[in-house]
Amino acid sequence: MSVGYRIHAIKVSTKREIRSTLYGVGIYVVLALIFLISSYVFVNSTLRSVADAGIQALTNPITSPLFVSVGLAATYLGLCSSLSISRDRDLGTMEVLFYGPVDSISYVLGKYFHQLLAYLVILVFSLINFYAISLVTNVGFSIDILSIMFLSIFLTSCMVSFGILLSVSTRRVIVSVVLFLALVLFFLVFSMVHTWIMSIAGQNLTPTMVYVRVILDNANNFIKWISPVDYFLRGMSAVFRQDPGGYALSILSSLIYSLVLLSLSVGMFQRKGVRR
Amino acid sequence: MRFSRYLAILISLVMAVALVGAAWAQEAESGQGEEPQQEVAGAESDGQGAEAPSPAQQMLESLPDITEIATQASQEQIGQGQPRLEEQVVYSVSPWNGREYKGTFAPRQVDTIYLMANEYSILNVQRTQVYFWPITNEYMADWFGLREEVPGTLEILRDGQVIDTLERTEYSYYFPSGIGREQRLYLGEEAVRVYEDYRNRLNAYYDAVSAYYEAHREWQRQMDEILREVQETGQYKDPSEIPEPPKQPTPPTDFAYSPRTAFAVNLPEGRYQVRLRGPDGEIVPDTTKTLEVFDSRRQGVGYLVIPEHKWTRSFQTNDPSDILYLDGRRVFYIVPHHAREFNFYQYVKMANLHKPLEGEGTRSVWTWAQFEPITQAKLQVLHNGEVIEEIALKPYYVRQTPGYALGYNIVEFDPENDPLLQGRSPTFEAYRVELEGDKSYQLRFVDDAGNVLIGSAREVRPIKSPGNAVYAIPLFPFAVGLVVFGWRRATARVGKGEEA
Amino acid sequence: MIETVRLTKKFGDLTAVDSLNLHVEKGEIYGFLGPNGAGKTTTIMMILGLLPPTEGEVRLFGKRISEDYFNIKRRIGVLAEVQYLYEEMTALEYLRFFGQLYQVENVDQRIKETLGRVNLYDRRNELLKGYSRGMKQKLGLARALLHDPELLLLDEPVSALDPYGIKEVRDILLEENAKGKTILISSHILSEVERICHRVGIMNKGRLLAEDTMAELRRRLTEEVELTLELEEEREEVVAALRELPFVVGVSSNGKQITVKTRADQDYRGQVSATVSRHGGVVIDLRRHEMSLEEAFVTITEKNLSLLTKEGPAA
Repeated sequence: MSVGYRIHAIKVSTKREIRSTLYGVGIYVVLALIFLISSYVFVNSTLRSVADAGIQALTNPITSPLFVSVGLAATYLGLCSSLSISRDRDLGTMEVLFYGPVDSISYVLGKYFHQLLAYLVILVFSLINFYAISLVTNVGFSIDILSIMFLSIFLTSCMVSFGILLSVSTRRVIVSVVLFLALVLFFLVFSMVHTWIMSIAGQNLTPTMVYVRVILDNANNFIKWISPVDYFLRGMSAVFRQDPGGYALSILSSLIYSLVLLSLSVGMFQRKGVRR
Repeated sequence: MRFSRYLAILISLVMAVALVGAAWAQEAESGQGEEPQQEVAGAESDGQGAEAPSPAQQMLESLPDITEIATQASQEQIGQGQPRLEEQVVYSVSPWNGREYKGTFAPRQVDTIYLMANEYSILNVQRTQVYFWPITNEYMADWFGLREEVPGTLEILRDGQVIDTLERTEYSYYFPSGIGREQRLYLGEEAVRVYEDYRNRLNAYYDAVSAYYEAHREWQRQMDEILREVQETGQYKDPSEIPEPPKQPTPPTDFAYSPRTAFAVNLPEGRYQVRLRGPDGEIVPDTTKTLEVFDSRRQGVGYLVIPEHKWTRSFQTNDPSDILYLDGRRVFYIVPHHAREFNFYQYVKMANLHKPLEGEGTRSVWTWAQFEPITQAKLQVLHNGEVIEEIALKPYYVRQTPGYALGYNIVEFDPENDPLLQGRSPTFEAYRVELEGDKSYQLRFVDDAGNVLIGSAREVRPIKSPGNAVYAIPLFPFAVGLVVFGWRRATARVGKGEEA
Repeated sequence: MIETVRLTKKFGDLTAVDSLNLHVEKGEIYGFLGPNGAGKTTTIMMILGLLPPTEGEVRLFGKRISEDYFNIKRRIGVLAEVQYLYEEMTALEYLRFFGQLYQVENVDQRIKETLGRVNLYDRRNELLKGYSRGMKQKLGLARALLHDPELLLLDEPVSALDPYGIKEVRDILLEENAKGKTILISSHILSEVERICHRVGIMNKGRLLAEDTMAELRRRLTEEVELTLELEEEREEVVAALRELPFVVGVSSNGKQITVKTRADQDYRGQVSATVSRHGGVVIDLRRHEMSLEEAFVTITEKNLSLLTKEGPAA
């Protein structure tokens, strides 16, 4: 019976939050900015390089602005998650909810599903945006793009869970925001450096650089399990390889990652309590 | 870079063989090579059972094997300082990398040998002098100083159980189009047969060269005679009376290594152990190693794309998910080959066991390896799912345009109809693609039976440049936001806060 | 309805609530009093399950909250001292959200009724960020009442209200109580508590010092009773006669007005009146001065008396 009540509480609180998000202008402004940035990347990297080369082989070039777009959107929602719980606690609105039939699980999951739902809205806009871009540039809108878009839901799931965990583990809004941004930035920079080092794998490196590469690779073996970005990158790679097994595994591991982080969040939330 | 170094060594060795052969032929021509000529003749008269090796055979058999070429310490290295030479039992390994057999060896310090699954690789257990060369961070062996085959049988184990026991077998590398091109491995009797066939043809060539010089000498003598007669009589000869000069024989374009013995290993993907059991029934110390046999993650058809407008700026596309984007240019050439995607670490380690740092830290990287070129296939061009053109592989020649402009034309290589191409070789063989209009196409290769080669399809799309219009699209969410904001302002107002 | 058993909450070395045994019976209005930092809010948070107790337990409707979390929560209405609202919502949206959360039937009708009771229905479509503090407090009460709970926990329910608003709330609470609702009020406005509470509990420094009905509390707190008499005319013999009575502790007069202090063991007004009459006096007014809740509160908390709980003095 309590499961039914819990699901009901999740549904109602998710509905309230998504309505509040959609009634605000923040999400639309952020989306427009994200799309502008990704379009800029697209025009100045892909279109320009094809124009320069005359002929070029690329994995669907929409994927790079799409990656920028979903990455920024997921980070934005992760950031919102990292804000939301500590802000709720600061504002006292969390306490009011817990006077009623809301427990820590339904509260945390309400926050989680709210952000996921917000992402689905973003995804609809992304679909319109990238389909329109692919039409006017004739780069093509393949099933791969749709697969990546679907996969990005799970990236968001990881990001949001990560943000929620940070939010419940810190008492102050500013701490959770700074921590979230710092960690995401670290994961991103690490991923970029690692990708760059690996992309020059075929070149002769000095022994020092080889040792740096070994350290980075070993660190990556650890970080790839805690960085939300890595789960998405693995899934994207599976899409390009036409590897449904790898794609499903990426989704599954993203879900497990989210589940673990949300369980930790609930545990930590119960330990910290509702009061400021 | 290393590859080119080894190739250079190999080519120099082959050239040495050719030079020695030519010198021997010249000796034969001048009458000083009588003894070798007799030896060759004797060898020929004996058929397959020559008692004394021919010079060609001597040269071929004295060639070091691929591992030795790749890992032999130079005299300079051995002579520098006091390298700590250590006598070791090592595995010399010649793994197949998709295009050729590479050479490496696993010294005592290396625990794992990497091989490609379902392909033959050559393993041998030998005793040699090993030392570590710190400048290049690699183990080197003084094969010329010590190379002693360790007798025994090679046991392959999986999960602790011996699953196969291998005896040494004869093997030979054969290059049908010459060194640096396609390479094949022959084992057992076939290796001997291929080698002997090659050796016989090489000997026949040497004989033909001798005969050519003999005929040339005779022709020269006749020509001198005719010239003397003309000078004495003042009467010109009828052209039909002037003898034709002899035709120079063409050397074999292929090449075969003389057979040696080693273990030929061909295993499915998996993790194994190898060890050498000596004739005394004991495991030879330092011969137990892990054998990691890896397979490709993906298979496909790689394209080398040569744009007509920038033929020197060719590029490779191996990934079937790649799309070829065109911006105005509609003509390009495709040189296809089979390709397989391997883990970079395993692939690199396989051929560089003697370099402990090589490939380290790249276990998460994947790489496409080129396999044999595709020559017996047709390229189909499709539009909206329908085949609109079938293109065959043809040779092409890049001809510089005369004048100040440094231009060029790519023309079909047809020396019979184009006298300018006579005596020349094609620049490349490729499938020429010329697309029309702003339509999108699909390319794919089909074999003779019409089956599409796996991973050979590529989409071709002409790209459009929309200019700044592309920045208008992202403003759509902003417009929606404005509508929502306006609606919200209209339905939910902010009161003044006084009590009702 | 509410029962706490040796309920204790410690924050490090600080004991915020110390072995609290609280009993709130069904249908009563219970005033929960204590100075700032007495541990009232901590107790309410533990009752609601928002703070885990260090020791002891809470029972609501005879059950521990963990036994039937959601059902118990749905039977409680809570009004906090400060209203934390979603300011981007209108009052209607806010109550609709809570109505859905509590699965209130005919939610729109119920919202209309409840907003009407707190006089906010006309402002239902205004964003809450424009609401005054008093409006927010009334909206909070509306939220607490929306799902028709059996138990109301109210923390300073009238602190932000004007006198009219206070009366409004008082009337609502009395109406709800008349319908059988149990109400626990934590308040500093003792006059309000005194007016509507059947019983009060007084807390100080984490301990419940007193818990009883107002009359009994007063009786137990008072050692002397002060009676004020007004005579028709001034009479010295009456004053002398009263001084002679055995239960009288002291008498003072000011013209026609006489103040008599008696022992508090029983009501001596009859005997005093009879003595005045016997000595020719005519009583035109006799008033017994009772200790106010405020006096009792100050008396108890200043002396930190713990003699008045059912358990008696604490160790």
